[in-house]
Amino acid sequence: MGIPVVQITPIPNIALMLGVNRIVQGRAVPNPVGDPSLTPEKEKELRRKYILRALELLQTDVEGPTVVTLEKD
Amino acid sequence: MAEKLRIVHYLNQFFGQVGGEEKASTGFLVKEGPVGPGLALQKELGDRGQVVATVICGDDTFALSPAKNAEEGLKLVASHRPDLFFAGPAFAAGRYSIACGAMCKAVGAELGIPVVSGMFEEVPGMELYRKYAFICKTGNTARSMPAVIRDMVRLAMRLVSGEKEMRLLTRENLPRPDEYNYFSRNLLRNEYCEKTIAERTVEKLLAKLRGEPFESEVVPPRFEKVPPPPAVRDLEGAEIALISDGGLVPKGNPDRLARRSNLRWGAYDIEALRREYEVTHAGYFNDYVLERPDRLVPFDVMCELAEEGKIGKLHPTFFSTSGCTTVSKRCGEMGDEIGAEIKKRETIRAAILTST
Amino acid sequence: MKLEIESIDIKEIQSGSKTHAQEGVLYVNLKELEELILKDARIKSVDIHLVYPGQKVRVLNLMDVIQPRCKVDKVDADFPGFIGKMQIAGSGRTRSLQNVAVLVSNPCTNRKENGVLDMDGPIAEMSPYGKMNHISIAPYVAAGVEERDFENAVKAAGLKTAVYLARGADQHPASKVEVYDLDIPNLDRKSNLPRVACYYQLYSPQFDHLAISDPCFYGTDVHHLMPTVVHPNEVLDGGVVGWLAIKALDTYSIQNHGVIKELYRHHGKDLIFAGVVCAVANMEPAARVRSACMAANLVKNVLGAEGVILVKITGGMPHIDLSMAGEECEKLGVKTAIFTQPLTPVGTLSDTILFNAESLNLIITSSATFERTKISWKAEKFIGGTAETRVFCPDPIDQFAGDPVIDIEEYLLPGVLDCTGNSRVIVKEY
Repeated sequence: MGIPVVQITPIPNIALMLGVNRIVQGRAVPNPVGDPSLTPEKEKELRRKYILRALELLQTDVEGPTVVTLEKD
Repeated sequence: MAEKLRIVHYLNQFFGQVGGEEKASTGFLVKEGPVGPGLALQKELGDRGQVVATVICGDDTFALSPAKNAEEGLKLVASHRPDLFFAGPAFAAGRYSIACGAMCKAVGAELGIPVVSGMFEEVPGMELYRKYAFICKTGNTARSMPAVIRDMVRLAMRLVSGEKEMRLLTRENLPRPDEYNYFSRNLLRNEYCEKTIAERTVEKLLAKLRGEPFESEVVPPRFEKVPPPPAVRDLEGAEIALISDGGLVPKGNPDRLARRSNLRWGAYDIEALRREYEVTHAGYFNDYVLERPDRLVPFDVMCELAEEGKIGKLHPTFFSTSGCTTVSKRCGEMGDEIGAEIKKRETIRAAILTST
Repeated sequence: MKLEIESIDIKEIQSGSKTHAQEGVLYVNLKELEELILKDARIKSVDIHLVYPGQKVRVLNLMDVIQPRCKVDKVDADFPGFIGKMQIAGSGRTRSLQNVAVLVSNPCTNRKENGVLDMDGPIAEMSPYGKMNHISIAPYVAAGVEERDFENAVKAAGLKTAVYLARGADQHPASKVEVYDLDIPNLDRKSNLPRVACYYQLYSPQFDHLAISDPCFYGTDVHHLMPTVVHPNEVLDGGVVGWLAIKALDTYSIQNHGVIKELYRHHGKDLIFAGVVCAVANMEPAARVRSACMAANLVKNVLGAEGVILVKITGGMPHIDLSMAGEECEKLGVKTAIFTQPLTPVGTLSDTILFNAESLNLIITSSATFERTKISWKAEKFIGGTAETRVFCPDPIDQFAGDPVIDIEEYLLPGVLDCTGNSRVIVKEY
């Protein structure tokens, strides 16, 4: 349909298998863009990082299914 | 069987003895008793049932709008109060297969009676309607008509008997596709087996280790790749939508999404959702998200980024589904439906999908 | 390590003034058993019932089913780490009672998904437990005891009951003795037979109640378990128990672990049983990768296996850990047989699988775990709950134990499906 989508998922394997093109590896299954072990402020900072990474990937041309993580490509 | 079963049979213009291709545009008509192959059907049924009426329609007429025509045909069928419905067999005839399938689907759904047809593997009616009817496998010519009629009647009798399939754990009235020669109906069932799972596993692994042939119980699919849409160039002006399969829904779950094997999705106003929500997903520990839904759907950060001008706007509707053990085909369909809705709204440039 | 399990056939159970077994009848001093259970201050009171096949009884809020067993030649060694002193399980002699089990219910549970067992009707037909005699215990919580703490108390009570019953049968002759003898360090290295290991996925934290993992390995939880080599006897002899809920798994099944027993059956004849690697399903991607690599390494370079059976725990997410471990094994040249659990009733077998690596070419269906079935049967008596006890359904509907028909998923029916491979079930396309 031509609408770019980025998926944030803690199980990138399935996304890759299905052919999802833009994938960001999420934090964990019960909290893909959160971390209950952190303080609310630190958690929000972490969430920002995930979203910014996702937005970065949205602005990147890809050739096929691509996974990025927070740490490095 | 104390009472004779009442049977209605659907045929096209040719088998219904109205005429050939030139009569493919005839509308519905009903003849009393069995017609054409219906006579063989009646003979095979013997005393067990009576073909009380044959409903006939031209293939071209039906194909113009299968759903509408199925509804009209259904009324004609229903008026005869059947216990059982046969359509065709259609063999390799494309339009006829669609008519048979559509009639079966409508009759089965509305009257709750067994609906049986016969088709060749490659016709469109088979793939479209196999889930809604019991479609016997046929060759691609009508030469095998007697054998197909026998199959159809045998299957129908089994269904009507209400006999439980004792090899299924559920004990449903569901005969085995290979035993009754019909196309599987996209169902999966636990079946009793002589060997335990452990016995089968060791046996097959030993074969694999010895370099002997072995049969896997499942063959994984190959998924087709979708060409990636080009990157977003002007993020500062872009409207982004949020989607999730983690089961976040408004309190009360108005669209009744299921905790497992869910088939539905919903579109919800973000502001209202943030005030009153719940989680319906049996596949992960829900409490972290219940405590702070941003952990699943990053509303807070997206609003912030919109305010800062890093993105144009956060779309005010959130698209939600629950992806616990939902079969991939339905997930794909939901994706198409959500995508269509997003396209309809015209302003959305890209989406972020968060998954558990 | 060598383990001998002596089996005593019990045909009947009755209450009696002294707990003992004679001529196939197990007599139970219910008062004495009650006193034993109430020694735990977390338990205020306990309902104990003798339950028989054919009774119109529905047992509710089931947390576990346990086979009565005790160590014959050791003291304080039963279910080590759980109720017995920590030591390695799996050697010496164990007494086991056949045809009788302990049904453990938690009538005070807050969990939504609880086991149900009928002693007559469709469920009794489907489950091996429907044909056995049972001692059912249903403890009630004392004031001020925290929920998870009480769950542990209920489990402990079940294990103690299982030991108490087996101990009581000490005068009864055994009908057979099974020997599980596997000396892993001294396995015949020159043999032509293929060496086969078992990768045993024993837990998934995705269902954790109140975010706390159930203790199931020597009395501790395994949430962050790194792949660990164990001797198969440790699994059979009480080192591993079921969760604090029935999820197509219970302690009885683990005590009779299907894949482990089958590998033992073939050991020395068609294969050499190389040992067991325990692992868990992980919620973080990095842990998943780490676990897969480490497990494959243990299978190949520590146990020296040429083949491995990957046994799956209930759930969707565990398919990924399992398949990643499987892929790593295949990369190291170890041939795999891997379990999959189709989780939807609609689709083809190919549709439901969550992995498609080409190297994983031998896949066994380990039952459609969440298959729903309608049970049309009315109980006259309820144990561990009442007619108003809710029965879980994934659809947002209300259903109760007293309803004439209940729509229930098979993983909640103990003994019907079993993650360890004992079920005579295969998933077919219809």
